[in-house]
Amino acid sequence: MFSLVLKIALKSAFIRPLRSFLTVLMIALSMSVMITLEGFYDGMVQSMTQSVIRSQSGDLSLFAKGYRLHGQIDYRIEEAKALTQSLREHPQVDAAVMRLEAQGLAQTAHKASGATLIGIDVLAEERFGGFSEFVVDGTLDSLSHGAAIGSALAKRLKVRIGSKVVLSVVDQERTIQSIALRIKAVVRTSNIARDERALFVDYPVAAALLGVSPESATQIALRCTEPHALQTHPDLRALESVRFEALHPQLAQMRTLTDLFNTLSFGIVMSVVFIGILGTMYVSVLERIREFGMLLCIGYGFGRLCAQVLFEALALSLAGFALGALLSFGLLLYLYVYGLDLSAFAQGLERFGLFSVLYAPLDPGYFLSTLYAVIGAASLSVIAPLRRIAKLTPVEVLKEYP
Amino acid sequence: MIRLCRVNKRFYPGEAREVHALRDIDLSIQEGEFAVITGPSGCGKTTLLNAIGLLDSISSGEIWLDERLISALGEHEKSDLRRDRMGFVFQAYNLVPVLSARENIALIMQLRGFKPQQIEARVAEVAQMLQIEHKLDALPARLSGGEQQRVAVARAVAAKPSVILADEPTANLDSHNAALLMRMMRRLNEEEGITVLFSSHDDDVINAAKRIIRLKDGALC
Repeated sequence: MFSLVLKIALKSAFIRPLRSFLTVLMIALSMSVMITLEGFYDGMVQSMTQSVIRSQSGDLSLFAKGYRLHGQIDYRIEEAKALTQSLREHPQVDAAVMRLEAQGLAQTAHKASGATLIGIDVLAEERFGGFSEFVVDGTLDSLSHGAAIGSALAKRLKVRIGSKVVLSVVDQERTIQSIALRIKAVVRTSNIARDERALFVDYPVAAALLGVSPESATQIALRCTEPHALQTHPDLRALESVRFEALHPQLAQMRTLTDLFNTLSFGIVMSVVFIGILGTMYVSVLERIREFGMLLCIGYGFGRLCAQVLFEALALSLAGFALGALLSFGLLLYLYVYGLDLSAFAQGLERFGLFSVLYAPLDPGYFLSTLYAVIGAASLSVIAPLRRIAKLTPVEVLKEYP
Repeated sequence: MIRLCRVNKRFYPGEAREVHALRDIDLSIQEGEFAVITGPSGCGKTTLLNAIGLLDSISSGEIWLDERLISALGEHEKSDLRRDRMGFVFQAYNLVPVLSARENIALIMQLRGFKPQQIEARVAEVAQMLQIEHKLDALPARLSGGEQQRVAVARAVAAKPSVILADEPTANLDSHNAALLMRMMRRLNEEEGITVLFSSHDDDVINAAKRIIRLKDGALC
């Protein structure tokens, strides 16, 4: 019985090929544009948040209590190396790095600028956030004899690979210490704070310059899937643990805003899809009133008619979904692999913390949510046509549509 | 088999435009009859057929089918009864346009849950009787009016209903096809014992019937 209803529905759905094709095309195009835009916007936000997570905050950052308020190396985690090592063994932690940061002044013969000394372990940073991918010039191989500089700071100081920069910082004894560093690499993280101020040096060099133990750190950054769960870890009670969202509320807000924007776009596009299917189904039902009346006469039953009209709407919608999914998958795959090259706007994008090539994620969730929405729109769109049929009696149909 | 007791049908009751379409109809149709309802245009032929076929409600009176009062049934039961006990042939053929002739004929049998082998055999049988076996795979749009009406008759008889109700089945056919259809319907009546009740005002068609029921102004005469 189900197969009979399905057979009539499938054949009826495509009885007017041009109309069906246009409906399918309308759904497919709306859907592919929506999914691609959704992916693009998500890609933009992910690009911004990931660059900050990879280069600075991780998903969870640990600080000695008072460090975030005073920003001085007096407030550091003393046994940071041992703690970092133990955290790396934790099943919920994907990667952990310790950093030693201090504010200072970077100078050349002609220029000077505020800078942040950041002591890093290059290998650990590579595992943590693929640090080498940020290098736009030079190499990290010989960092122990020099420094990597943020791209915007390099521009401001007018330095390049091989140039010398003198960095002055206040050490633990409140004495100004200076070091001459040869620039080995220029890095662009798209994290504005890093690109405009960072001078990355080898960890022992930073520790020696600041006069602190290389076992200590001002920050331990963690990559983990459930930072919330880790915050309650007993070893971290003495520390201040701050999640990415709290450390960078503007980025978290932007993520929320993008989600809202995507939801709104989704709603608008799905409303258009709904109206499109509704129009098609209404016209389709109206022009087949006589057929439906005859089916009611011979005992086909209103329930079967409802199922038939619903299947027709679903057939059209799912055909549109399939085509739209194919189109949007192709577009998203392109953006995922090659990205959208906006080099012409690189300077402007950099100011917003974006790379000049923007990539989109290939998230199956886009397709799944659209599938649910399309099924929902199709199901809702048959209510009005079915109400029209429900008002019919077989004899009325035979009289009015002879 | 079918019994109508003082059946009345009024359209727009209580309004100025009220029409008394059927007046105190008392009528019995026996099993195996081949009867025609005739009369001038507007006399109530279609209304009477619709009432018997439970397509339209009646204002008063009773309709019985095999000792069962069917005029008082609910809509769902009426629908089931139409599917299980009655076959309908309409003036305008009314085939499902997306189904082939074979699928149209099999439609009611499928609705009634016949097995595929039974359906296949029965479709072949009625198609042969109605001489449309070579058109079984064609869509209705590819068939002539006469062929479409024969497919409609085949659909009506395929599931072996108790009665076939046909409202002016030859109205859209030329005289040759009309005569052919009547011969075939009569043959079905004789060979399968199916009761056939149809309406017409065509003398040739009326003369083919075994019993003539005349209506005038909604009353039997």
